Amino acid sequence: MSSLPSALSEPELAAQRARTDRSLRLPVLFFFTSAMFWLMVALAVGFVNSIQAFQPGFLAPSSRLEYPFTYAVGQIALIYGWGFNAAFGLSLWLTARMSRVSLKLPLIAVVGGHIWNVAITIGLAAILLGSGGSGVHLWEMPVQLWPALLAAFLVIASQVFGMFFRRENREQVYIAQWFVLGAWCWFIAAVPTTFLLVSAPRGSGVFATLVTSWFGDGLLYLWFVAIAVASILYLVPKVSGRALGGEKILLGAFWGLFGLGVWSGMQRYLGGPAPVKLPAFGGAAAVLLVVPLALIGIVVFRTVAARWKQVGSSPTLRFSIAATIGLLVFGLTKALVVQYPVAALLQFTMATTGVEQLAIFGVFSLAAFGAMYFITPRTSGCDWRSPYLADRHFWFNIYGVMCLLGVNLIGGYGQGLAVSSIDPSWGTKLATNPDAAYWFSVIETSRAYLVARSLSYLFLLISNVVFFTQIAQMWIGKGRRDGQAMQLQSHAH
Amino acid sequence: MTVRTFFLGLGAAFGLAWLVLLIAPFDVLADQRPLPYDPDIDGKEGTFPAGLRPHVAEGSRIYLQEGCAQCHTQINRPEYLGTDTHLPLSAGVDPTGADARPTHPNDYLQVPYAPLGVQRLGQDLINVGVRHPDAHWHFVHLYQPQAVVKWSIMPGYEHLFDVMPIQGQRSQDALKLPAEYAPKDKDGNELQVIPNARARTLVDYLLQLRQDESVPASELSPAVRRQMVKDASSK
Repeated sequence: MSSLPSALSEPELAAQRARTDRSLRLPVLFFFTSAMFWLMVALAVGFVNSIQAFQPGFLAPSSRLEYPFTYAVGQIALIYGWGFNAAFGLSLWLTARMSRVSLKLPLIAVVGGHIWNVAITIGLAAILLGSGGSGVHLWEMPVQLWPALLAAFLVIASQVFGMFFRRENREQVYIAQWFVLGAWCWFIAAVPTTFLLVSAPRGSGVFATLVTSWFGDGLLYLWFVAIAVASILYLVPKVSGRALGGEKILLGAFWGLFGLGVWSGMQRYLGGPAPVKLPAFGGAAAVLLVVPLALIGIVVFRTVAARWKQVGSSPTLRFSIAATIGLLVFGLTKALVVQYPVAALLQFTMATTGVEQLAIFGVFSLAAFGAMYFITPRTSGCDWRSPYLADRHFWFNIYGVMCLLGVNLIGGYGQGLAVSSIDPSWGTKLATNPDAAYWFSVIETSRAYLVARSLSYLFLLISNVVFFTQIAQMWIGKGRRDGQAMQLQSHAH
Repeated sequence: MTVRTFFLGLGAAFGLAWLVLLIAPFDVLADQRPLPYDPDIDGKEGTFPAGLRPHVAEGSRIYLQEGCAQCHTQINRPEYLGTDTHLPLSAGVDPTGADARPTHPNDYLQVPYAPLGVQRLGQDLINVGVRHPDAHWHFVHLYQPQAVVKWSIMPGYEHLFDVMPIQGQRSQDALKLPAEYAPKDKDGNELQVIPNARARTLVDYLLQLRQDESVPASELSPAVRRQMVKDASSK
């Protein structure tokens, strides 16, 4: 469905859209500015961290700025800084547009955003200054901060749900809207659950670990992927001018994503010290999740099939289609790494983290950039200055994502092979020198891939510095004002 | 789809997963306690694990906060998922012997959060206490990993140590570092490096990472258990 029936004429609808965009100017620009700031931090720190992985001491005047701490800082800045701020801005704008209403009290969302960003900053400071972090993967911030983060989230959620319940057309809802609301409902349910189960005084340590890995996969599938899909499903028909066919297929995909995604996560510890059924449920869900993701891909590709030229010239379409391809690759790799023979090699290697990074960089970020190319001119009042830089932004992102995925998968395979090779003479060597060259071979195998991973970060950093300079110009009113939408040259690559 | 269908459907989808994945296992796993050995089958008395170990909860918290779990795992996977139990550095105990076994929930009985790990940039530590039973080795390794393993890519944890001038006699707790790693003041006088309280708790914890107790037969697969019963009765 590309648009819902309305009693208004097209000029009246255009005026309504302009009013909606104006009402969102403050919160959307606030969330996109915050998101870009955190993305710069995440990529700069991620780049340093990727070098520290093979060169300890790199740019670390204190041991508090070494690999373990830069890793946590990079993760938090990427996921909760960039990812959530961008998703907040996207959700507000998408909901307002799809509900055809204005945001009545934009300051409330901004207040929520400030609480969120202050909580993240305190979390980073706690990790760097005083060992206050939890050290738990994807849950690194001090546990005490989660109530504040949830409160900030609920403040912003009140605006998203508020606009939805005030929607103009009470009878029909865009399919993309369900993905937005589903993602917000998941987070509201998952954070208190994870918080309570991890902090429960009589809980089991093994179970707490499983719960955070379940939360981690939920973040990927039910937050980042869901928001990315919402953006793609709204913007692809809008920009291509072709109706999104297959509403029933998409409804099936929605229930598939949310019905199965909520089971995924515990397979991270396949073979671990937990009841076998828990990782088994997660593994089965990861395999089955390929189906809803493929259905989404089919519908999106069918929609743009007759408009490939437009995909080349519109940055929004280019990024959205790249994100859809990322979505399919993500689903397939997640399904692949839970297969026993594959997991035996890839579990606990670069490959596992590589698949997570694919969801952030290769699905969510690409969809968010595509949306930003569409939303920012409409909320800032001026347009992108340079099609050339937008083109570079796209290609450097693609190079970065492909490099990151390839390096992590191949490097993870090499790492897994090196870890599992058995030298029969070790039984005797163990007695005299337990750390001798056995692990050295693993490090030597990984080193080249770790270096290449740094290059991926460099691509992404360059790409997004370029984007940042473009978007910053628009925020300070230095964008183009000739009223022409930016067109990329489709023959550039 | 109506709003009502959306919320009811989502509630049902989430509710079922919550019930099966989170609520039911929480109760089962929260009741974990030391498991008794059967003298007739296991050939020994007592429980697995044998008893409570000091500082484990606090040590594991520091282990996580210092980011150790980002590079080190603490898990021995079963044979169908790789060769962990036969690796000298994962198994720690005799890799060819019967002691090498997959990890069991009771290996983490006292920790509030089991640091199973994310990836293996460094070695698995489930048996580091068996491989390196000397606390001084751990202190030096934490302070300056390259002082004990030249090619290590692990960063040093200088912030877990106090570096101070030697006044009179060197402290008994001061690390014995190779000359090239010993810190000096600006006049070239050697300084002493003393582990702080966090470093001591962390090393206490690392020394207790040893998976050298066998799992009671009651926890093993029926086929293995049958074999053990058969072996026990033939003795």
